[in-house]
Amino acid sequence: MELTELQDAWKQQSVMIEKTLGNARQVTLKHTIDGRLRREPIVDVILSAVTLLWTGGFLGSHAADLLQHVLFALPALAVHGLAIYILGQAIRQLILLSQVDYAQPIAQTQTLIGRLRSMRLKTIKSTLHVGIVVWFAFPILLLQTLAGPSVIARIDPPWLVCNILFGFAMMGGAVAFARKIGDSHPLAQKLNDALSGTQIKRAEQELAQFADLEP
Amino acid sequence: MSNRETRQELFQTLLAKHEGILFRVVNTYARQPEDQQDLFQEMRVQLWRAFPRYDSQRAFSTWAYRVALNTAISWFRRRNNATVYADLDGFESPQPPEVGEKAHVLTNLIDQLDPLDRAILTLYLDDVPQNEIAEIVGTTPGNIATKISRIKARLRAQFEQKEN
Repeated sequence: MELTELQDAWKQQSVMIEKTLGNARQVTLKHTIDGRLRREPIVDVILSAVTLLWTGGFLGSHAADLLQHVLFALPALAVHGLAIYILGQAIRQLILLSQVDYAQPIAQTQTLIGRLRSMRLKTIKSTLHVGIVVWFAFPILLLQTLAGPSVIARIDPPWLVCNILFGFAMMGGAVAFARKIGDSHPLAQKLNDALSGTQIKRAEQELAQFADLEP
Repeated sequence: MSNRETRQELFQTLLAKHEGILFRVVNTYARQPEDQQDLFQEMRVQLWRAFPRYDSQRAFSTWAYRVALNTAISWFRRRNNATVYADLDGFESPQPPEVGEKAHVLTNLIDQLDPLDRAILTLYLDDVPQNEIAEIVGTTPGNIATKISRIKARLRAQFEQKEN
């Protein structure tokens, strides 16, 4: 059988779809594809901006104390650094999104969308990894905001070391757990994909498809 | 009549003339009626959004194919990733409706192809010349010829497998 022999079937199917979609001309869409793509980086911008205001305010208002005792500033600096990274990545994604034009050739547009998806997945993966390790910085910073930067001096150093190690153990545990329950639950699969980077590989394979087309 | 109204009228006239492109693209990327409706509307929205940048010196059909196929590929990828999770939640795709043999072969062939090859197949079955397909996809006619021969080989393999 040759492809040309399928053309009649193709036309018949299209006529059937035209009948089905005859009444769908009134647009009732709630979210378009690019609206959905934009939503996640916008949420990231808002959350990281709020975090930066918090950490920046804390570092600014206790600058003198913190310069004398650099250790007191470490939790705020860790959270600040993470927020700057997330904000930077979200802005890069929004800039890339603004360049997406569906009227451009398919290879060009889909390469851009593929890069965007890959960047998004890498941000999620690295945020998750770093977030698990610096998780203890958030409650300490909250405590410092409420009780002053020196409250950290009352924290037992072994307790702090244990928490850092616990963060690493949690990360390893989360990866192992996600792999063990693997595909048994949608949430586990999402976690597994995010931690192991399965989706990043898939996104990069898709990108390679379009790279083959470059004239 | 305001500028926007004139533009809207021109858009509707051109779209009405080339609406078949949208139906054929929907046919390639969506199976269920609600998905077909969703994709059809998405393509209309994206066409209207991109319309201010449309160069009237060039063929509307080429431009419409680009927007429709880019929208469909993006929609399909997003939908496909979500379906992986939905399947695990006990979701099952409905069986295809009773169709003629050739239509069945065509549906099977489309389902085996990745989103880019589906786009090339759509354009080929629509009798779009190879150099225009290359312009829509953004590659050389030589690359398109290679892709089409691979799709043909796949169809032959599928047919031989069925006969055996």
